[in-house]
Amino acid sequence: MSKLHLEVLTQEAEIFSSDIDLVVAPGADGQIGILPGHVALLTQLTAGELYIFDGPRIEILAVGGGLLDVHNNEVSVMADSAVRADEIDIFKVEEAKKKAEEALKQGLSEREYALASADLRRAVFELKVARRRHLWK
Amino acid sequence: MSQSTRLIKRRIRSSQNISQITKAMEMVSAAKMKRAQALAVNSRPFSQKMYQVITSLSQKAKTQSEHFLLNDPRIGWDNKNEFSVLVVLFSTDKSLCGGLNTNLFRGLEKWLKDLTVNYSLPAKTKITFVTIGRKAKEHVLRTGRQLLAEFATLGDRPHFADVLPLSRLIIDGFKLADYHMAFLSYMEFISTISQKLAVKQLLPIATTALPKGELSTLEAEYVFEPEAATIFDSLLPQYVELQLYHTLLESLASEHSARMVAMKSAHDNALDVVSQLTLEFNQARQSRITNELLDVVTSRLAIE
Repeated sequence: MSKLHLEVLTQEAEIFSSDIDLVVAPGADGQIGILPGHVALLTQLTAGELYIFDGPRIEILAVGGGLLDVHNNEVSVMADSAVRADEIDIFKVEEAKKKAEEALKQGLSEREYALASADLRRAVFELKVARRRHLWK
Repeated sequence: MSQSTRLIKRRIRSSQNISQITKAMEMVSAAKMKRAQALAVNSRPFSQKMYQVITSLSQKAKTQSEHFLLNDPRIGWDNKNEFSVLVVLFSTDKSLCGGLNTNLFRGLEKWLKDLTVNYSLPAKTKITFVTIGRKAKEHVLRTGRQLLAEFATLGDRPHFADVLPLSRLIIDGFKLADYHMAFLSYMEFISTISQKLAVKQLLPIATTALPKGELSTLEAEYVFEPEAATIFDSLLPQYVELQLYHTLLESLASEHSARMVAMKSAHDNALDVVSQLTLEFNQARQSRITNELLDVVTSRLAIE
């Protein structure tokens, strides 16, 4: 059976690159599943979970919005941020969340406020993904 | 005699100090260089992928949507009007980085000379600059060119959000047709010992550069979700921001590499000077001793 080649890139690094069977992504208009032979597609992604299926293996990435491009069985995800669910360190994220919440309580400039609230959103979201991942196991 | 040895000794000491300082600076730059290089190299695949997507899409989507960032004002330009070009120049804040800035400015001047021919611009072309880094500002002012804005270097760990004011300035100016083309000029990081001047067209986003072979591999029909115009509206400005950010990272990597190499050779030179001076010092001391011996012997002979 033919396979898809998936690449997940962020500005900092290449997170994932491998041949896979199916990927389910959080598209702008709801979840989309992409199988080999998918029509060429460009779509925006919202913050969400990227499920990667390869045979019996399932990999979950937390992506923070971005862009997904499919053509010729090549899927590229250009994400604003992406973390493997297994690699999310719950304690670290909890800490980041606390820090961001504290920062929000103090009077901040508009820019700092925006940065802190973005951090908070990401932390909460990563926690959610990580918790669900732990339930699965 | 003792006068000259004391002088030599002083020079040895100061050369030793220089070698110590340059060694320390070399090590600091090496650490910064490693980080900057990793950042620059790791952000390359993302930029390249983005570029691929945009170039292929803009060809497909040309009929579906026109975006102002893609419009080439050179087409159908009235030669009576003044054409205006913006050059965004990335340099360092500090010097002590060898010939990095000199090469940048020399290359830039050469490129400016051939600008109108190479890009088939109208004869009446005005050039404006936006500079990042103190050295670039000084160069632009010294050569008496127009400076639209200057940004201080954004530190050793630039955040993506740091380039947003810059990209806002550039995109807004382009939208209002304050200038009709924008270029990036910076030192491209090739390796630790080699950096090269790079000039890239930023705006309008060049989409014709894609080789034919790559295009044919793309499928004819693309599905957009949401529709192409919406995606383009968010994607194209983001692409400009990304380009600026990537350029910033590259020029930082170049700066630290160049500085490390310059400091290394300064350190080596200082050590050379030290060994040369030590030799001179020993010779002077030896000749003094010989002279003193001669004195003793001759006076002894005179007494006998």
